[in-house]
Amino acid sequence: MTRIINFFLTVREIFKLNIKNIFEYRFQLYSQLFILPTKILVVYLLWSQILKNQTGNTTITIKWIFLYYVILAFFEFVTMPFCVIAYYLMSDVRDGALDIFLVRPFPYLIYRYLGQSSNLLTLILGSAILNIILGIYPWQLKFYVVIYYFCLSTILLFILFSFIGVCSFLVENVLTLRDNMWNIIKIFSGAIIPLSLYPKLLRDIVDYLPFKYIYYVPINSMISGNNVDYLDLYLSLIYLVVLATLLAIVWKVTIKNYSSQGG
Amino acid sequence: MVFIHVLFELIFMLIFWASVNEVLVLPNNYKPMDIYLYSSLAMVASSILELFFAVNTIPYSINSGEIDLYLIRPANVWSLFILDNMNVISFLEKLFLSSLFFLIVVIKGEYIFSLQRLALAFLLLILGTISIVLIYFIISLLSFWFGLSDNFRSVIFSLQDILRYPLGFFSKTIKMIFLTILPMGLASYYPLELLLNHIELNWHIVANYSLVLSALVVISVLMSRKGLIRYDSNN
Repeated sequence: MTRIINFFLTVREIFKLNIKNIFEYRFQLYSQLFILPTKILVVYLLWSQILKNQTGNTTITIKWIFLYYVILAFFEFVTMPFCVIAYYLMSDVRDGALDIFLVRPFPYLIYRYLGQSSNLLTLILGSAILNIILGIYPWQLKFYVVIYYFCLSTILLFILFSFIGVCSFLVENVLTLRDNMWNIIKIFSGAIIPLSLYPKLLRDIVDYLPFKYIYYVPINSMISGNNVDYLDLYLSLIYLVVLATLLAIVWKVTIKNYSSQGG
Repeated sequence: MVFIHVLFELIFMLIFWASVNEVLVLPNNYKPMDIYLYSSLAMVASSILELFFAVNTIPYSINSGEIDLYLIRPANVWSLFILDNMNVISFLEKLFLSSLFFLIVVIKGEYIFSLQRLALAFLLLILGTISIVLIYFIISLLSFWFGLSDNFRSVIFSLQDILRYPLGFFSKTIKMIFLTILPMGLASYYPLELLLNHIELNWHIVANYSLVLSALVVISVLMSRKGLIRYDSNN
């Protein structure tokens, strides 16, 4: 019993210490609270101005576009840590820390993905709350489809950046590759503007790529009524299986080039 | 690397406006090419900002005590700091791409303006960019009082996002805010309007630039003096 009490007392002290650390730079902390609202304000100002001038032929409403960008801002914020795998893998390969993981009876990549459990939980809870706010309730199939899409997005991001990380077995620095991957994802995932607004030629290309499942499909499925698009659902699963299999193969092939720093 | 990054930024911008132009009508009679002209001017301004990149690192140098190195030299602390950390390669790469983009837009959009108007537009662009640098400088100097201030700078950066789109899109109030109170719009709003022949250079504009720049210089000098007196080196 004493040990349990001591444990909780230690946890309490660590928690207090962390809170104190956060408040060390108060100005920094208070400013941080305004970053997201400011971004949202800018989106609102721009789109309200653009849409005010429309003559009536457009189906885009300020509510739809505003919701899209607000959810996107939250989504990007929570999914960003899943992209760190490229950097982790590069560091682990460089300093030989990968050895420790390789001797464990647990796959390295899955271990790293699970390392982001807190973000995954935030994402699931956040999407559940957003669902309810938007009128999609837990007794509807759509509720679970949206959560599935949100989780799928983290896995896809993780796999894509793992491909970059795996390149560390072949080249010394993958940071430029990582940045370029990020830029490509931005173009094809709907992070710049909803994909439905893209010019037709680009829309046709984007439709055949898996990137749309990262942002556009999850957000659009959340804000566009209660219907479930089964074709998108099955296609997303196929992409997931194909990419995961491909990653496993690439990992097996490239890891043969790994020689530990530890000798 | 900067070259590729800027290229992607350019692609993002082209995709955004191509998408908007396909389904929507632009506000206040702007034509699609006008937007690209605006974006090219904004890119030129952003390339000049690269020269003053060091201003953004001032908070960390204050907190780490690195400023000591410049305090003991017999010259202005901030000029030395900026010169020492100047990012010339990034500036050149960005300037090359943005100038190229500007030329393509001018040729493709068949814009015709006199050399005098062009020179004036670029002069205003440079003065406007200097005002942005001074705003960042003032924010960075806040670190003398509040420790780190980069999140506050991020708030301003987020606000600055509005300048990716021509200020002419927005209401008079927003225009006024970004041309006087937070005068980041000076770098591209007037230069664009001049090149589009929407306005003529008048004493209002000259007064606006003069007042804003003088105010920012005075605030910077005062804050720098007070801040350096407050400075207590970590080393």
